[in-house]
Amino acid sequence: MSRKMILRVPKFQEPKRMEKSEAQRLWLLLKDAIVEVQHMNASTLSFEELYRSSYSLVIAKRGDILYTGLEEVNNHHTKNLLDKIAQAVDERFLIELNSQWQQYKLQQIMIHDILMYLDRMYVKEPQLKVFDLGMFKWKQNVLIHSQINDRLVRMLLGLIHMERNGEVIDGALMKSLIQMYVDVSLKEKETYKQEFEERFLLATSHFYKSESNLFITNNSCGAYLKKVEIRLIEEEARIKQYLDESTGPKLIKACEDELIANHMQTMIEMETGCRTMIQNDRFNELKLMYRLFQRVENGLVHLKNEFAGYVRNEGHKIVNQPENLKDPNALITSLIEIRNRFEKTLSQSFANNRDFINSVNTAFESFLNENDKLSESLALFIDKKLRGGFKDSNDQEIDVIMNKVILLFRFLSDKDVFKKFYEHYLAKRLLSGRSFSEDLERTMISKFKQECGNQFTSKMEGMFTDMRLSKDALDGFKNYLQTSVEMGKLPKIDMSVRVLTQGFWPTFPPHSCTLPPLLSQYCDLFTKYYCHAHTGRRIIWQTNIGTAEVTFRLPKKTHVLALSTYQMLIMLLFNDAEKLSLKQMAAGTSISFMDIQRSVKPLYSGKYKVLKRTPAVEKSKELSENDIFELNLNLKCKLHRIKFAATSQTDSEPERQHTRQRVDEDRKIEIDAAIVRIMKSRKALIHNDLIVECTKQLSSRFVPQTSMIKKRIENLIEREYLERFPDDRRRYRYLA
Amino acid sequence: MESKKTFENYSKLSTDFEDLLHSKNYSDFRIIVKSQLQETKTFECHRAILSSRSDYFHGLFRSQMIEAQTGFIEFEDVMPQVMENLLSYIYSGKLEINSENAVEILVFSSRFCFHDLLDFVTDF
Repeated sequence: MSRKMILRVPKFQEPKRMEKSEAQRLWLLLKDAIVEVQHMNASTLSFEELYRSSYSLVIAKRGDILYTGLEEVNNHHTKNLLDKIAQAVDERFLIELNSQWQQYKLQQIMIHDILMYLDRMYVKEPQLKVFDLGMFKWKQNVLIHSQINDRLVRMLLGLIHMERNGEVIDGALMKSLIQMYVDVSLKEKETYKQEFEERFLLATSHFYKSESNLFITNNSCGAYLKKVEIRLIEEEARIKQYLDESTGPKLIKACEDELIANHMQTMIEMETGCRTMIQNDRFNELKLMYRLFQRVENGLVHLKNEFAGYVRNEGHKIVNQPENLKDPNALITSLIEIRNRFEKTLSQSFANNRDFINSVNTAFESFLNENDKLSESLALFIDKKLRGGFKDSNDQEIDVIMNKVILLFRFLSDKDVFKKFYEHYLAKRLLSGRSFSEDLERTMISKFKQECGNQFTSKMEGMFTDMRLSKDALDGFKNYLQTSVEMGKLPKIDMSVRVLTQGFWPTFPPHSCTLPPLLSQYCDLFTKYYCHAHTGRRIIWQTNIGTAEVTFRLPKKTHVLALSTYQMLIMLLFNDAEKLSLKQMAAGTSISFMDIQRSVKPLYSGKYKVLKRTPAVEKSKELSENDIFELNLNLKCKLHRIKFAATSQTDSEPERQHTRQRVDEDRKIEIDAAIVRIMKSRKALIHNDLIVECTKQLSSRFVPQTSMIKKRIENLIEREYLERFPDDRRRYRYLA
Repeated sequence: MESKKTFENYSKLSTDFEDLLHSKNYSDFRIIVKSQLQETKTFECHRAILSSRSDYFHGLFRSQMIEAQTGFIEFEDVMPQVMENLLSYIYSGKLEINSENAVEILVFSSRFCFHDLLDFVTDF
C-alpha cells in the first residue's frame, strides 16, 4: 500500500455549510429524544434518525452545541431525580434509589449509543466521554449530595451490621448500590474508596474489636478459633456477594488484625490457649491456630517460639530426671518418645513447617547437650538393643528405632565422645560374644556411616574384620597344635584367642595378672605360631576381658562355671587352699584389688553362691582386704552350667574416666590437624580467625573449647609448625 | 509432551458467511436502501451478525427503538453499492477497495464507526 492516490475533493468530504437554524433544529430533535429516553419512552424513536442527526451536527462542526446541551439535560434530569429519591422514606429510600439508578444507567447506555459519533469523533480529553458524563452528573447531583450520601452509607453499614448479627438482608440490592459507587468513580474507583470503602472498613474493625473482646473472655481458646475461622469465611463470602473485589484484601486484613493479631498473646497465654493445647496434644485446635496465625504478620513466630519453648522445657525435664540419669535406657526411650510426639505435632498441626522443625531441632540440640551423659547413654541404649536383638521388634520397627537413634545422635555436639563409647561397647559385645546379630550391628554402623562418612566407622568395621580373621587364625592354630611336637607334652585345653588390631579397638585400661603355667604355655605357643605366620607383628595379651569355663566338682554333683578370666584365676586358687582373704587372692593372681573386689562379688552375692564369706556378714557390707572366703560346698543348683556376670553391665567410673581421657587425647590430635590444615592453606591468620575457622571445621565431630585450641596453638609453636609475627603477636604464620 | 494443534480455516469461514448474506436464510432484519439514481435495494440480514460486528448496529438493537421493533431500517443517503460493500465487510471481513469506491467507503466507514476499515481506507 505504499502507493498513495491523490483523491479528488469528493462531494461528501466537504460538509455543506450548515445554517445555524438547521443546527438548532437538529439539536432540539435530539434533546426531545433524550428527554423521551429519560422518561423511558424510547420505543417510538428512530435510532437511525437520531444517530444521523448527531452525525450531521458533528461533521458540520457543531458538536459543541450537542455536548453542552447534553450536559445541561443530564444536569436538569439528575436534579429532578434527587428530589424524587430524597423524598422516599425508610426502606423505600434504598429501593427507590436503586431503581432510579438502574434506569438511569440504561438511559445513559442508550444516549451513548445514539451519540456514538459524537463520542468517538468529537469528545477529546479532558472532556468526559458521553457515558462518563452521565455517571459524573449522577455522582455530582445525586450520590454525593448531602441528602443522599451519608444516609445511604449509614443504611448500607447498618444492613451489613445486621447481617453480621445473623439477619438476612437483600444481597442483590446491596451489590447494586455498592457497585454504584464503583460505577460513578471516574478513575481507580476513587468515589467508592472515599465515600464507601473507608467507612466500611472502619465499621468492620469496630465491630470485630468489640465482638472479639467479648467472645474471648467468655469462651475457650478453641471455641474462639472456630469462631474466627467462621467469621473469616463469612467475610470472604461477603466480598463475593456484594463488595468490590478490590476491597477483599483490605477487609480480610482488617478482620485478621482485630480477630487474630490483637489477640495472639492472649490465645497463647490463656488457660485454654496454645500452651494447654500443646501439652494435651490437641492437634486439631493447634492446626486451626497455625492456619489462622499464619495469616498475620509474625503470627507463626509467636506460635513457633511457644512450641519450641515447650519442647525445650520438656526435654530439659527428661534429661535431668534423677531416674533417667541412672537408667540410660529409660532416658533414651523417653527422648525417642517425646521426639515422636513432637514430630506428630509438627506434621498434624504445623504442616511440617521448616521453621518449626528447625526450632524444635535447635531445642533438642540445646537440651541434649545440657549434660555430658547423653553420648554414653545413647551408646548404652544401642548396646542393650543390639545385645537383645531388639526384642519384640520386627525389621521395620528396628529400622525406625535405629533412625531415631541416628536422629538423636545428629543433635550431639560431641560426636567423638559418643563414638568412643560406641566403639567401647561394640568391642565388649564382640569380645564377649554378646552381640545378637552381625547383620543388625552392620546395619547400625552403615547408618552412622551414611551420617558421618567412612572415617567415623572405619574402626568399627575394622573390629568386624578382626573377628573374622581371628577365627581363621584360631583354626590355623588348632591345626598347628595337632602337628606340633610340643603338643604331646601338654594336657589338652580348649583355648580360644582373638587377635585385635591395635588402633581399631579401644585400649582397655592396662591390667596385669599371673596366668596359671599351663595357660601361659599355651599363650606362648600361640604367640609363636602367630608371629611365625605374620612376621613383624607383636602380640600383647589382654587377659582382663577374657572368659573361661571351669569345672566345679562338688561332693555330689559337678557344675560348669562360666567365668571371666579373673574369676577363673581366683577360683583356681582354691585348688590349693581352703580359705583365702582378698589380699591373698590379689597376691596369688597379681590382679589389682579393685578388680578382685569386682570379680568376687558375683561369686558370693549372686543367686548361686560358689563362694561364701566366713564368718558370714551382711552382704551389703563393703568388702575389705581382710575378708575371708571359702568354697561353698553346699551349693544347690539344678543347672549344670552356671553363668556369672563378669562385672556390672555398665562401666565403672574409672573405665568411664578412661574413655573420657582418650577422647581428650584424640581431640588434641584432631585440633592439631585442623590448625595445621588451616594454616597450610591460609599461610597467615589472626588468632581469632584461626579459632573460628578451627571450631567450624571440627563442629561436625565435637565442639572444641577455646582454651584447648589455644593450648594446641602454643604447642604447635613449640614444635615449630607455627610462629608469631614479631610485629603482631596476635598473628600466626605457617612454617613449612 | 502432549502435542496440540489448532485447525484454522478463516477463508472458509469468510466465504460461508458471505454466502449467508446472499442466501437470506434465517434472516431477521432488513436493510432497505433507497436511491434516486439506482433502484431500491433490500438486504436480508441477521441481527446476531450485525450487532456483533458493528457498534452502530449493536447500539441500534440494544436501544430497542423503532427499527429494532419493526425489523427494518431505511437509508436514503447511502449508495446501494456502498451498503453492499459494507455488509460484505461485516459478514466476511473482506472488502475490495478500488479508486471507484474508496471515497464512499471512507465516508461511510466513518459514519458507522468501522474504525479498522476507516484506518485502512485512509491509508489507501
